[in-house]
Amino acid sequence: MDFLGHLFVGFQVCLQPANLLLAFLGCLIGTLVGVLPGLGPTATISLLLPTSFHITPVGALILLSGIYYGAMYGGSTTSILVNIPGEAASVVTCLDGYEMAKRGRAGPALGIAAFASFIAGTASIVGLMLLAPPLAEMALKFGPPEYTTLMILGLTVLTFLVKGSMAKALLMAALGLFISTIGLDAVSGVARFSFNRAELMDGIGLVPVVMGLFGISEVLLNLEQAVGREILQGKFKDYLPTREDWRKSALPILRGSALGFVLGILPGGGAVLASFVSYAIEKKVSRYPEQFGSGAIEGVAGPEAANNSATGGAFIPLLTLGIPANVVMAILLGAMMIHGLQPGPNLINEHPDVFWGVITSMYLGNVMLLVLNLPLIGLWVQVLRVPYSLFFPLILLFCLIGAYSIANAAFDILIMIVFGIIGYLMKKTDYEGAPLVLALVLGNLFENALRQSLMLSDGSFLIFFQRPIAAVFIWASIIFLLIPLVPWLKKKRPAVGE
Amino acid sequence: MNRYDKASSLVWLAASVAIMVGSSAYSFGTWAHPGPAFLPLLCGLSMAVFSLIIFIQSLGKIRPEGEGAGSFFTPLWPRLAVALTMLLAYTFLLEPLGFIPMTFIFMFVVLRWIGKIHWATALLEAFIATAASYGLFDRLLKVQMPPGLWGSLF
Amino acid sequence: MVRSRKVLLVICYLGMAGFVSQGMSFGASFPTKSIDLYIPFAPGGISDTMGRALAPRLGEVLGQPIVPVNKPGASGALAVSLLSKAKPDGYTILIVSNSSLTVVPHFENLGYDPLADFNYLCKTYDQTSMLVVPTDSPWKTFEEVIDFAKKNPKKVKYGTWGQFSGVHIAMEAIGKEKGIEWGHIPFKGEGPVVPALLGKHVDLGVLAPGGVPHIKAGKLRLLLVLQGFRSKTFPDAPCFKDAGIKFNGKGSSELMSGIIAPKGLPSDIVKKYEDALKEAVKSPEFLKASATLGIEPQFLPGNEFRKEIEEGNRHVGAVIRQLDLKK
Repeated sequence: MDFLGHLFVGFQVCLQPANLLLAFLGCLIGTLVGVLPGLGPTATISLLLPTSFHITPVGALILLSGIYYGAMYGGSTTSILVNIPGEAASVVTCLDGYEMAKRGRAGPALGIAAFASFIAGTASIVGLMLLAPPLAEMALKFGPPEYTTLMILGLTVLTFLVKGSMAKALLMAALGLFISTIGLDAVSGVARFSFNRAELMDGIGLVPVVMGLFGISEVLLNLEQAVGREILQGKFKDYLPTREDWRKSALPILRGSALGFVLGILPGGGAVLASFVSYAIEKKVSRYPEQFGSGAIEGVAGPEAANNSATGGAFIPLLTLGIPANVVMAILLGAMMIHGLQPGPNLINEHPDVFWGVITSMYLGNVMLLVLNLPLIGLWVQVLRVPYSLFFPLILLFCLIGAYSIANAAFDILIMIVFGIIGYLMKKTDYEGAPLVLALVLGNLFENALRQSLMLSDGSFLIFFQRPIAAVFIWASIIFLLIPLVPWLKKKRPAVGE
Repeated sequence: MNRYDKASSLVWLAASVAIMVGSSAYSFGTWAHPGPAFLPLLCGLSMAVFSLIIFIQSLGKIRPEGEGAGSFFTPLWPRLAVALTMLLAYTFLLEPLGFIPMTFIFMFVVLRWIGKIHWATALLEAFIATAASYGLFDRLLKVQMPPGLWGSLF
Repeated sequence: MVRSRKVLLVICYLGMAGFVSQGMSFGASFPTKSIDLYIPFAPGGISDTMGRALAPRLGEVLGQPIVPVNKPGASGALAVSLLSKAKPDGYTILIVSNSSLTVVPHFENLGYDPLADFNYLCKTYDQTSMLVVPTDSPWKTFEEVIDFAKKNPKKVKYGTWGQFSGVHIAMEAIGKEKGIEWGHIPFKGEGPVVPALLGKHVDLGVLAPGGVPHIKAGKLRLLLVLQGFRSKTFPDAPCFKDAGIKFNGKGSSELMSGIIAPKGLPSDIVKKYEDALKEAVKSPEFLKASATLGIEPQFLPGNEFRKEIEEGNRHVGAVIRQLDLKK
């Protein structure tokens, strides 16, 4: 393919002053949206849709994509600073990012997150450019059985996430799966555990749960301690990542980028799954896994790379097949249609300026975001200096507003508070929230895919072993589950030999 | 091991039983057509198994000295109570009262009664926070915050 | 200190500007403030796009802005439920898909009576639901599918956008009429059906506007439009009559949308809306969006829309009883 020619066309489009401005605006708004908890790119993009009518289609797409990317970058900021994930894909960043901040290393954490996101984002765009059509075709091969086995693999990955008791983590995962069943069952049409409340019909949203479980509970916990926050604000070792940090983060970033890109292509999979899997992989290959959960920078670098490159991956099905990989893509799809563009196999041919214009603006966006975010690190670090007693009410307020803004419903605030209380109790009794979140995210997809698979196979479980891709996943899961048992078996042998 | 493991595992056991009972209200379906109770029941079952494991593990541990004494909450629990009350108040009063008054009240009360901030500073921060968040969320980001009683006065 | 005082002043001004621009209502003639248009689905979907395309001109004619508010949930029924509880002062309306009124109430009681609780303002457009296969599927016509299904019961799998959706009911009714058994695979929404078809995970699929770009691009083949009359978007495709199907899709596979408001609206406001909406559906934004999405605009006054919904609701109820579909 004549890439240079295409890129040239693309840059001609996106470097026009109007489009440049839109890209910048998008990144700015996106960062803001990502930083504010609860407010997701979905709400903002849909709110700005009407404004986008007054600009060209390319311009609108550039603006809206910028918001999407910006939100991904911004989401990690609050995860690191105050343990509140900006959105679900940033949950994993909380695990080690916040710990780093508590140890006075917020600057390096934010810095590595920004750089990892930049490298991964750029890599994924290159991937998008070069591999879009073949990857899109590959993604089509994923049907219900492949999704089921992929989810099973994702859930087995949990076994690598846990810091403490395995039983407790699995209990949390089972709980998360259960919570995902609340609401209208897509397959049977039955409303489960909804007590006839219309709000529960769609289930319990991920965002309020995450905000409550991580953010609110952390505030509650802090309020109970007289000292603690004040002391930790004293030490600020570095503002930017050190050479040592870079050395440790290099491979995680590479791995995360590749992983995120592939998982981002799959509709429904996406950034959240990618970030969790990346964390698990980094922990598994690390020489000091026990440091994970106490501020290991690899635990920030890998997942951040993964969730950003998933962003690029998600554009593939949208631009090449017209199939949105997640809600934000669905809105972008709607936006394109409003502007008279029909995304799909013909987009590249009919509107090459749009396609390449959007792609080149994504490169630009990544650069802009890096440039925007780095100086902000200094600002954010200062923010942490504000006395907690003045600061925490703002955290709570932003969470309240963020939760409300999801669906203009006070009900979501209630969910957040309930999970805040649960999270507080959990933290005091040593149960981890991460497995619950992963299970909650995967739950619906998993259950639907499982039931659809069984309906396709008329009840036979063999379908998971007969289809090639699914078979790979399920065998991988079985192997992963059995690995922890191997040392146990080895221990037995000396006793037998005696 | 955490000193509350015995108690917490029993709580989760109770929850898992509740889940299993609740699931029985829906049909399990067949293997070819799994019904709505399929997954919830399995979840409840797994939760019961895991909570039993935790319970049994907790029986085997010797209590470290000094533990077992003292309550679950620290002496600062009143701050928690105020925080929770205000959070719930915000939830229920946001729509009737409106964004602006409720935000102001929330901020002021929380600052004053938890952080023990001097009332003038509390007033100031509450005012700034309310105005700024209104400008940011309602105007700039176009998040539709409820006008409530306040909005109907204008 | 000076700088932060300036900042404080600026924030105060911002805040005051906000208060003032809330608008004042003195009991002048309707409407005197902005109107909420509830959209029962998430942004980016058909209802959302069409609702937003309708809003500008409607707001112009009425003289006040129309604010689209997304209230997704329960496949569109949540917003309808919320509307039924809203004040009948004309400041809350909703763009409704007929299934929330003709299908959902038979399965779930969400606190509203589809006919008694609402003022019907007008019908806005039709959508054609279509039965499709991937282009490289061995079946070139609907008859071939039926033949295969007769010889291989339970083998043919078709995907739709929801269990007990209107089109699912229609497909079951058609299956019964033709004496075949085919397996329904429910998906969450139209989106996942497309890759399932393209990836050959299901044999057949039912799509509405989401299928249009793929049919036009040659990736999907349209076998049958699920209604009793030919479609304007694809006039060459067979309809029920052509396939010898007696079932008519009223209320189930015949998709239409309109605008409703809570019951008890004063009649002068109803009249204002009907006139304004008549104008709005002719607006360039609305027509352009319809063309892109493959939607057929059709304006019908409120009482005629109500009649269609009534008929659809009755028909679907009868079909459900016939097929014994209640869960």
